[in-house]
Amino acid sequence: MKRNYDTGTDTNQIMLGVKVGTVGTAYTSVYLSRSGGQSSKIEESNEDSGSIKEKIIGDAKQLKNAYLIIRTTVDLSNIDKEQWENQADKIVVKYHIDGGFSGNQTYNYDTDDLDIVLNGKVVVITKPIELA
Amino acid sequence: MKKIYYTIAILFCLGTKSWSQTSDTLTLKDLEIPNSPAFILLDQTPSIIERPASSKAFVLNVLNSFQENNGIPKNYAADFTPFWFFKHPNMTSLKFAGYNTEKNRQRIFGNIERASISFAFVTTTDTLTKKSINNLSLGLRFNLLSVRSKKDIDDIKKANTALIALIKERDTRLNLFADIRLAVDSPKVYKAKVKEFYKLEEENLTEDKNNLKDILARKPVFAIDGALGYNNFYIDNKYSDGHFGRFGAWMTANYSTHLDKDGSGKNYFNLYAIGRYLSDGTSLDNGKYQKKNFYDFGGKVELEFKKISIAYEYIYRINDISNTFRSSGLLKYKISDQLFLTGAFGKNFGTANNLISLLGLNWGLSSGSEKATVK
Repeated sequence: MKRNYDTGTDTNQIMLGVKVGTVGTAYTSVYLSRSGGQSSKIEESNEDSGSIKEKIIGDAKQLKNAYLIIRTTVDLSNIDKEQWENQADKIVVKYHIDGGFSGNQTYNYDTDDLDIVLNGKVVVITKPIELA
Repeated sequence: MKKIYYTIAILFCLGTKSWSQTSDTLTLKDLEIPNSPAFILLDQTPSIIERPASSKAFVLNVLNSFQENNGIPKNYAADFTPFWFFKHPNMTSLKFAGYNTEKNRQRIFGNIERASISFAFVTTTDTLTKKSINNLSLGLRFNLLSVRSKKDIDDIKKANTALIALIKERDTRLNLFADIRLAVDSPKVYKAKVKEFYKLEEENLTEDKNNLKDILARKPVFAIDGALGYNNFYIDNKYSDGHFGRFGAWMTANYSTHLDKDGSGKNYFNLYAIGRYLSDGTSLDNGKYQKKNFYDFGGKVELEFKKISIAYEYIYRINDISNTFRSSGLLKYKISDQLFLTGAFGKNFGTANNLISLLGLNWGLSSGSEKATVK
């Protein structure tokens, strides 16, 4: 489900952070997509976890009317197969955006953002956020 | 074979829906010989000194014995690990594996959060009065401390990095297969594309290269486990005739060393030491149940190979009246990938009814996905 964040129109800096909590191995990539234009990867998580520490992703003027599309992929192959289904439900992903007109906002993913693939071993969570 | 069907039929009658995936099948992995504290407290296990296996959300255990019951098991234990039922917002795969990336060191106390709670129901017969005794037992078990070898930690980090590289590479290929913008413009098409991409991945998947789970299954070099157990018993199925049975608290220290040269196989030499306090209220004196205190100290030595494990344990019990001991040998044999045989023989504590002769089967330890149709 798409969420909205009002960046405002000034030159204020917009910050984004992603916090992932899961027993599985997670990787997060953040894409900036403009209408009619190409989508480009602007951030990604490191080897430690699927989380991304709060970072400036641009100023409000630049980002207005673009979309942030954040995809987190969780591989649960490090736990028993019978736990996959249960642990897919227990994944926590929180998206923090700050610096815009909407202030400090935290979004969670919605059930329709989640895709369970490879017989439950892999979970893909895609969250689009409109920067209005 | 009859025993298997009896066991499955009984479990079905108890309401199998909570632990089976469909109404007419049981996952054979759900039927394991118990080593939960609720069972150990009652001296009903092949071995008193046990290390917990990997924790599961819910496991029902069945213990059968040649001693009685015409092959129909009357003894059950259920293990429940609350950790698996909650969300963990700060959890990562490395944290779960016992490594703190921020402090760059092992999380030696990290497994405490995976403590398990167990319940056991054991039916025995009083040797003097021949009345049936129903034991109801509650237990708590936790891993207080685990220290892994440097090699295991390095292997965990390497396997985690390799898995992240694989996920990232897939993520890049998914972008070529489905434009991420579809998630905004046509979410349904995007979802269908993601499913299609991973379906193709599944078809091209030759082998699972991630061995993180195998590395996590390796035994730590040193571990300390703790357990608590409480038991009440009821005579002749009467609630009004219920009595305090036992309370126990014990700690087990375990040292394991690989017998394989490269330190990554499944062959180990294990040494265990145990200290246990036990308050026992099951002794009948002048028509009244009396409480007695026991202090157990002992150890176990075990050779563990891929197919077979052989162990000997000795526990010395100090009490107010006379000291006693438990001495037993334990054998586990892998008959096939799906079938394990566990047996124990020896002397239990005390002088009466003190024969340990247990034999049981473990099913489906290899994958846990095998199923049996309930007749």
